[in-house]
Parts: sequence; structure tokens; C-alpha cells
Amino acid sequence: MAQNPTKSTAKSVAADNRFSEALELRIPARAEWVRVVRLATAGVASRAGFAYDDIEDIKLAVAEACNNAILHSVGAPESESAGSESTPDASAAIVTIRWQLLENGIRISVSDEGRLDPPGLRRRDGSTRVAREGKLPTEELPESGMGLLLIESLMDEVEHETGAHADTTLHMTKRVPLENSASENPASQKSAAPKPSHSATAKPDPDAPVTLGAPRTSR
Amino acid sequence: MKTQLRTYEDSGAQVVEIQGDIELHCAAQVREELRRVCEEKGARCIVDMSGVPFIDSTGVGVLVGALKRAREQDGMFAIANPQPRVRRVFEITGLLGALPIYDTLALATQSGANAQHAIR
Repeated sequence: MAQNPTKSTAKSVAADNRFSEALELRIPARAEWVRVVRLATAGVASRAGFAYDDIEDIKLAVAEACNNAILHSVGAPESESAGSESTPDASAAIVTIRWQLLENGIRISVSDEGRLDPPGLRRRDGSTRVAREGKLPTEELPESGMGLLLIESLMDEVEHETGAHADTTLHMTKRVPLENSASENPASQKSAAPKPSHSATAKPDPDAPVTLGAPRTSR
Repeated sequence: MKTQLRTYEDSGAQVVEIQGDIELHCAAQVREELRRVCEEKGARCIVDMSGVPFIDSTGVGVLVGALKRAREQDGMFAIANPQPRVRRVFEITGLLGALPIYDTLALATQSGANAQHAIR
């Protein structure tokens, strides 16, 4: 139920949240449910105005976030074959997925109920190195730990939040590309931020129209 | 919509044809089959991915594991005909250049027959 979404979920999107609507799904922390999350994500992302390729990207990012939540949830079987054919009593943990429609995109939050290895997601740099250096010897190629790299590549903003009980939420935001979103003017979105207009200069944006910046008066 | 695996021989190579998503849920099943094929000394393993519309990073890891295993056994491992979405995931993970990928099954089979070191 979210008829009255609060404005203050995160400062970076506060300006976008005002008229947003949200959906939520709670799944058992088991791999066989991730497909359902992907399908739901496709529906919501489509409604948010994304085109096919972006929808596929968002689905993958959300699936990766769910995988991480499932694999690292307290009580989940963390073994080589974790999540494969999970037994019914493998875990009573719940993963919650929340889709929030923004004026110009979507924000998806994936929460678990607590991790054994909470903050910052264990990050292995293997695939980042491959991406940077072009090639690694075969024996050094990464076999895991690529999820967060994918999420960060596919989404525009990714934030991490760790709660009091080591519960972790990953927030992911993606904007509808401007060419998709009709005649949306970025200037109007920026001026909608609840800030005095002169502070707009504090955060330079290369794409911002010149009218938003400091007056171009030469002395 | 369970992921289906079928393994058959073609021109001296073991072709593992996968139909369906390669994701966390079925990763163990795929990993096990590829391990079985690639663990044989000098095995030539080709994964036919034309029927795979979706792969996640777990699935990519399974393929990397199979490549490593084949190399350890002086064998050959190749991926045939991945769909554009799957190719994109290889690209983002930085593995597009590291995985031996062929546009068609025939090309993969030929490469395996002619040049075992093509994967190096």
C-alpha cells in the first residue's frame, strides 16, 4: 500500500518521488522465484516507459540483486550449489522487491532480512580486471562475484543500505533515456528540486542548459 | 519452463545443447553436465547456446569454469551461436574476448576439429 509515498527515501531521488507509485513483492529466498521477479520487473519497467533493451537490462540487474540476496541471506544454504534445487526447508528467509515508478524512470530496491557478511557486498575484482585489461590468463578468469559489476553497469545509480540487523537493501535507479521520453525538458526537472534556484550552480551538470548555470555576464 | 540439456556427438566434439535460461536456479545442473563432458582428457566441448534467451552472472561463471576445466584436460571448449542478449552479458562482464565464441555451431565444430589451440 503506497497511496502516500514519503518524500524522503533517498536524497538523490527525492525530487522524483513526489508523484510516484510503488509495488512490492515478497519471495522466499530461493532461486526458483527469481524468474517471477524478472517477469514482474519487465511489466513494471514497461509501464515506466522503457524500451525493450533497457527492460532486458533492468531484468538482469534485478535478477542479480535477488541472487545476491538469496545467496547471502541468513539461513540460506551457502554452498557450491546453493540455490540449485533448494530443499523446501532450506530457508525461511524472505527477499523483498520494491518497484517505484519515478517521473522519469524506475527505482528498484531489493532487501534481504540479514546477511552473514553484511555491508558492501563482497566484491571480487576479477571481472573488473578483465574489463579493464582486456585479457587475463584463462586460469585467472572469474567464476563468481560478477553480479554487482553487472548491476552497476546496467543501472544509472546503485546505493547500498545496511540496517540495524545486518539486513541489506540494494537500491537501483534507472532513468528513461531522454529520446524515449518525448519532449521532457531536463531543465524543468532540475528546477523542480526543493532548493533555492541559486544552488543549482553547486552541482555542475555538463548536460544542463546554460540558463541553469551562473549568469554569463562578463565583467 | 525448465532448462533442458541435451548432449550429442558431432564431428568428434561433444555438443551440449541448452534450451532455456542459464541462471542461479539451474546453474548446478548445467555445471554438472559441462563438468562431466569437460573432465575427459582432451575432450572437445561445444555449448550450443542458440536456445538460451537469458544468462545471469552465475551462468557466465559456469561457462568460465567449463573453459578452465577443458584447458586443464588439454581439451577444447567453445560457445556456439549466443543470442545478442547473452553476448551482451559476456561483454559487460568483460569476458567477451576471453570466451571462445563462434557464430554458428558448424564454425565451432570446425575450429575444434582443426585447431585445438584456437582457444588459447
